[in-house]
Amino acid sequence: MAECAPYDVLIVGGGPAGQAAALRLHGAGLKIGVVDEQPRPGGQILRQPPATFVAADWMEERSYRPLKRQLGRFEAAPDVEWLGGSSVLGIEPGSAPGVHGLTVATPEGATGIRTRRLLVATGCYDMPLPLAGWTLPGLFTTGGLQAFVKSQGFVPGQRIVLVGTHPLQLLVARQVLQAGGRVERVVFVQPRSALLRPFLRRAGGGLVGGNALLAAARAWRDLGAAGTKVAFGLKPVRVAGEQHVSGLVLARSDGTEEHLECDAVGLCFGFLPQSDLPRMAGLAMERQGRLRAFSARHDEWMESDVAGIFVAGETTGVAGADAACVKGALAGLGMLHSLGRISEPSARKEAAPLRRRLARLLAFADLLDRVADPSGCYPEVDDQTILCRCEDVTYGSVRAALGTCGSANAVKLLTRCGMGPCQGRNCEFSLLRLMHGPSRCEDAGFTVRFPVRPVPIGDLTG
Amino acid sequence: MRSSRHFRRPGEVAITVDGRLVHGFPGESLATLLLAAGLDVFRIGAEGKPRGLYCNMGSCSECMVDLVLEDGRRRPMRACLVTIGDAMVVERRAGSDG
Repeated sequence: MAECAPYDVLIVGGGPAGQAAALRLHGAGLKIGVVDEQPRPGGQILRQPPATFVAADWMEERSYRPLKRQLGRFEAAPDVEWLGGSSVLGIEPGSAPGVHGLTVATPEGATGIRTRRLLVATGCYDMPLPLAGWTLPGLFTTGGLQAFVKSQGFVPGQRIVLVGTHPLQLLVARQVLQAGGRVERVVFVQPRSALLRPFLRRAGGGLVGGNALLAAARAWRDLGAAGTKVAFGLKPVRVAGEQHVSGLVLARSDGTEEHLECDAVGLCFGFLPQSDLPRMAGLAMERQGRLRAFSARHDEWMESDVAGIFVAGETTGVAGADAACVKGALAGLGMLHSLGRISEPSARKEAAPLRRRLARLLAFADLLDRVADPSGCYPEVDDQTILCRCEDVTYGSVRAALGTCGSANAVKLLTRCGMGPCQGRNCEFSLLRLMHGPSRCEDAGFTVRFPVRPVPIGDLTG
Repeated sequence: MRSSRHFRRPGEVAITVDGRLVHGFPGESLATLLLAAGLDVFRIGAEGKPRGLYCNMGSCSECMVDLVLEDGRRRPMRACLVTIGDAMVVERRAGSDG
């Protein structure tokens, strides 16, 4: 494996947080690199179409405009090296004094990278939601379905049903319609009042972060005008189909069932931080939000408890793109200060308004977290339902193992749950929920192993 | 369904999937090409049922396929992260019936 000269700052993740950090750092004569699995920057929220496509009116919704402006500035920054199409496989903190090491799979093969400061801003992913039939072709996370639409102009179904608890599904449904697709129905599991009441209670207060809320409201209006029904209080029971999704069975509150015919289903029950790199690096973690998801701890400059490793964006708790931008800017400032490029009084002065804005955005994020809370909305799953997709481990096997196993790692050893290439991203949350219930999932989870992303073994040895 | 509401695509290319030619557009992800062609089974699960792509963002590894290199070596890749290239050769782990 070849190695190049160390970076001053290496940023993992080219989404809103990573971009904001890079933009605060650039122009200071530092060697800055940004690694991302996607070929182009943007993160999942602004996942860009291929450069070979000519895009018109791409992501026109108003709430995306500040993010698109930031992305434009990021792409124009001449001293920020873009390392796209590359997966960070592992982090070795303090591989030399004052230097951290990473192993990165690039399109040209695996390589070692060293950096004086590291920012982990790897975003989040859709919370996996086990359900009978959820492994059938045609069943997607709603974020994944949306990525097809916005970055590829591809609608993966003729008749789509979106189901979940998160208001994002309203925006995705409208993006499908705008692309010329058809959405049979958007289903919220919670009652209508649970979605609306927290917002109405706060609406008089001039919500900061209300952009996302307004976008959802506009989307809802447009869906109504297009004849797409938005339903409430229906719980998914199973995905029907033999070779491909053919329908979704929903349970009404009175226990009766409704069968919706469709050929694609999106599940949207919330988001989990990508936590494997901080956990592998041994950073102190905490549980955040109503999902009690693994999030990296940090100080006021977004530095973790490992000196020189910073964290920002959803890595520190899912709070949305606007908050990620502010956290990224703070991390950029923090790294600038820690590299001796800005005095502490100057950094503090610059940080003060950012921190005030962040506090308001986090209050909004907490409101959204409450509205989208899936507690009480999870489908009932029988013993035949697959919990761990990679290793085909069923709920039945895991329930049996829990008779003797006291930890997630013990269940993994006994059943192979979490042993596959996804490193537990598909199953760990569900396993912890099963072990401890939604409010008390205090197990440390799986021990994260190298490589955190699948890589051909020959790339590491060749 | 490929939509042309917001995008204009360059001229088509063809790649080989399980020995058959499949058309797509330069820059597209391999996942898009496969699903658009109706080739949406990525493997057969232990319970004998077909398995589909799930997350489309590199997290779940459910869209793993083998790229067959010129020297015959096989390179396992997540289809959602692969940009198609002219004359690419791909084999799914579902066999050619899926």
